[in-house]
Amino acid sequence: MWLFRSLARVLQRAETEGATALSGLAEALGAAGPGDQERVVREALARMARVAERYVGDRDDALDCAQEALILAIRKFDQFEGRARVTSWLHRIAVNCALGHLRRQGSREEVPIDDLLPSFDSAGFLDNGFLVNDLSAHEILERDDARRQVMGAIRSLPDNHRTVLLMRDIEEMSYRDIAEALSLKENAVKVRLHRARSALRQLLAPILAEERT
Amino acid sequence: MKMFLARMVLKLARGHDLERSPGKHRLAGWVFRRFPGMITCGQFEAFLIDYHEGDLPQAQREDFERHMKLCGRCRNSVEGYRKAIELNRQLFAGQDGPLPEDVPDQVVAAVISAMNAR
Repeated sequence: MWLFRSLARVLQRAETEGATALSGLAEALGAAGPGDQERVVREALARMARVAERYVGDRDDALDCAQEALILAIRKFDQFEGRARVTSWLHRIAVNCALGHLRRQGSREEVPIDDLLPSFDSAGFLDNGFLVNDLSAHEILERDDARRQVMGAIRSLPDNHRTVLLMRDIEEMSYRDIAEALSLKENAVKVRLHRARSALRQLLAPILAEERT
Repeated sequence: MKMFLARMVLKLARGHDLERSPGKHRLAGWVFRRFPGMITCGQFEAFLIDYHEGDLPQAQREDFERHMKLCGRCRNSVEGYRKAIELNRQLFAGQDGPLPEDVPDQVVAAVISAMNAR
């Protein structure tokens, strides 16, 4: 009987803490009241899935990551110190969950990108020059199909390179933070970032060369 | 003076065209390898990330910029590198717009019930 009462108390306390954490996070995200929680949760999931999708490349996997990340965020809400915006904090948790997802998928064969990197001839010159049009990135992206092509190029990079590229150039994380998140040395992050950018440049060569019409 | 001499030799090796004039092409390669203050295309590529991030020390930056003035291929390479980064940024920057509305009800419900059932 005593054991049953203790267990009930523990469960009740956990339930209260969970609900409190949820309402705390919902309030921080601008919920008008308990009835507004569903809207806020839906928006947070949509935002986190959008971030995760950049990394995992698949909408359903991204939604799984977002669900895992949001539950984790609610459970850890008491650790949120309020120094960063709550949306930035959720963003970071979504990225971590997406990286965890990629790590679990680890068996995926890594695509070698050496063929996409510049090579040099016997005299030391860059082997194949790039032709670069005078269009701005904005103008290029306004062209038919360009967004899909650029997205395809980014997604075709190996996971470990795409991850560093996104963390640095999209999330604007420092080398130190990236190194910590990926358990790499800062110099290794830099090398991988440079290779990823160089490979992307090669993959985008047809778009970059296309002249103004 | 260094720049003048290099320009003269490179003018001889106009276009670094290996097919048309292998001798001139090799001569131009020698200039980049041997002349003080010159770097090869390979070294240029290795410096590219630090140059782009503004982390390249002054002396190396001068060598880098000198090479960029003299080598058309590397000028285009830098331009392609910058644009590839910018295209990546702008592609995702465009995603800051309206949120996708395809979050399934059961995922929303799962999060809420996971918390209430703790």
